[in-house]
Amino acid sequence: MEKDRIGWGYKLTKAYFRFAAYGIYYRAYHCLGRDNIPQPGTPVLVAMNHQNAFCDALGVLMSKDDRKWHFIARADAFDIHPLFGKFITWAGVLPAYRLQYQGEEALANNDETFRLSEEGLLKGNSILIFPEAGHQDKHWLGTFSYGYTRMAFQAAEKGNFEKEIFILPAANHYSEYTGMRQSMLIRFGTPVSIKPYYELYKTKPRTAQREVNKLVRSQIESMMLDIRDLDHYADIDFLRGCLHNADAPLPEQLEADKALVKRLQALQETDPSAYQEAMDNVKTYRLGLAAAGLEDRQIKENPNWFLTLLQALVLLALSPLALLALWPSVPAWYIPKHFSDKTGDIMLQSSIVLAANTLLLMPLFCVITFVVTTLLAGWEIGLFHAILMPFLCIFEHHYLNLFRTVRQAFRFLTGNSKDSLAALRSKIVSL
Amino acid sequence: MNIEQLNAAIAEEFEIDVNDITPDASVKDTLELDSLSLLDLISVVHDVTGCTVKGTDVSHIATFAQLYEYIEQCS
Repeated sequence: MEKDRIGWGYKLTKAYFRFAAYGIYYRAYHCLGRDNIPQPGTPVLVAMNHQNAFCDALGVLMSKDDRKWHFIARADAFDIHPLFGKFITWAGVLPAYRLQYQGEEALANNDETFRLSEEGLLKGNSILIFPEAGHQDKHWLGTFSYGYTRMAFQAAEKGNFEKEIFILPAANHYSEYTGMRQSMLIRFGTPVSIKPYYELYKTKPRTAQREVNKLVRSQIESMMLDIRDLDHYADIDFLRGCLHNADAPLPEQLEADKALVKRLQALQETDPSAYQEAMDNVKTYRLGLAAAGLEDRQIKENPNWFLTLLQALVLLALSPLALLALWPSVPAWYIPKHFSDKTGDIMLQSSIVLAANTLLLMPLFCVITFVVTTLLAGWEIGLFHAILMPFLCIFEHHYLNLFRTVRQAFRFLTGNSKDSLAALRSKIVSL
Repeated sequence: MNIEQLNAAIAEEFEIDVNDITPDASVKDTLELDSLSLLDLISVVHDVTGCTVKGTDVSHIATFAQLYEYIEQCS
């Protein structure tokens, strides 16, 4: 790994991705604990939980502009397309080969990744690695591979244990994993210096790594939402949504979610039958809503006819703009979604939609729009229309949300299950 | 194959108590195996027994008893 030089190409590309990700795709980006990130030039290995594929790495990339970040990513990311492989190499990504994906023969290729990463650390680089290796599909912290601790200690050993190397625990959280205009959060913990463990590492390398791993993992566990009861995961995940203060920012919602999970864990330990009854109530409510074609919001907000009809009128008034905004909204969503659906992994959806639009689709749509609109109405209108492209996607997203809200409000007002659902809801919100 | 010798070598390599290695114990959990340490286990087994465990076969080896059986068949 060469000593980092942050050129103008890198800065411009990063600014463009920042606009695409946090100006358009995501509604809000919260970065907490930014001051805990060691100064550039300090060897730091960021260890983070892994949920939302490429979006997790993007959150770290955007946290600081004073360095070039490096990332360890699964090796098959480089096989998506040769150009894409070259692009992410230039962006500082190194491949990690895993037995279950690339097979036993490919594992030896990790030697080169380790060599480059260790040399990079000794030069003072900042590297992001995901100890869980693969991404999860839920708010749950999986088992850690010791690759990251091995990398950190091997780097220290390469430098004769003279350099102090840090592992910085970090956690990410999302309001929803998929769909536009969600919120995301990155939190950095307290850097863990591995220097106190150098002497132990010299005689018992695995023990030293286990000690460090315990410290790192416990910080990540405390910073993220970690729902351990997988048997009731769906119900707990649903319940936290019901209890959310919709106006609260994501960091506040996360703390409330963590407090809820802690209360439920305590209830499970002290009174398992009460816990099971509570989970059964949540499940009954959740399934009842699904059967009625409703969401918790309708029961919670209790929409009335006046508001609903007013919203319907707004939909009608905005429908010409919504029709215009079908281009580029429909292809911008459905083309990458087609490819993400083929992977069979819903957790890749946001990454593929974001990357495909940023790198290819949206620039292409802007050019097509400029050309066509210019031919029809002149270059000034063409330029304006082209610039409007991403914002039309935001508008269409909100329009569709309003459409769904109105549709469900009509279902709520004309249905006959609202009283029973309201009664169920009142039981569960006291948790 | 000398099981005690093998267990001692594994315990030393992975810095665990040799008494944690029992026939019914999970290989993956006891040794906290990942892709990298799997290669270390393969190396230890080969050095002690001469048997080359295939990485892809390890996913089918749940317990140490099954590992011993695999090595016996390998011999």
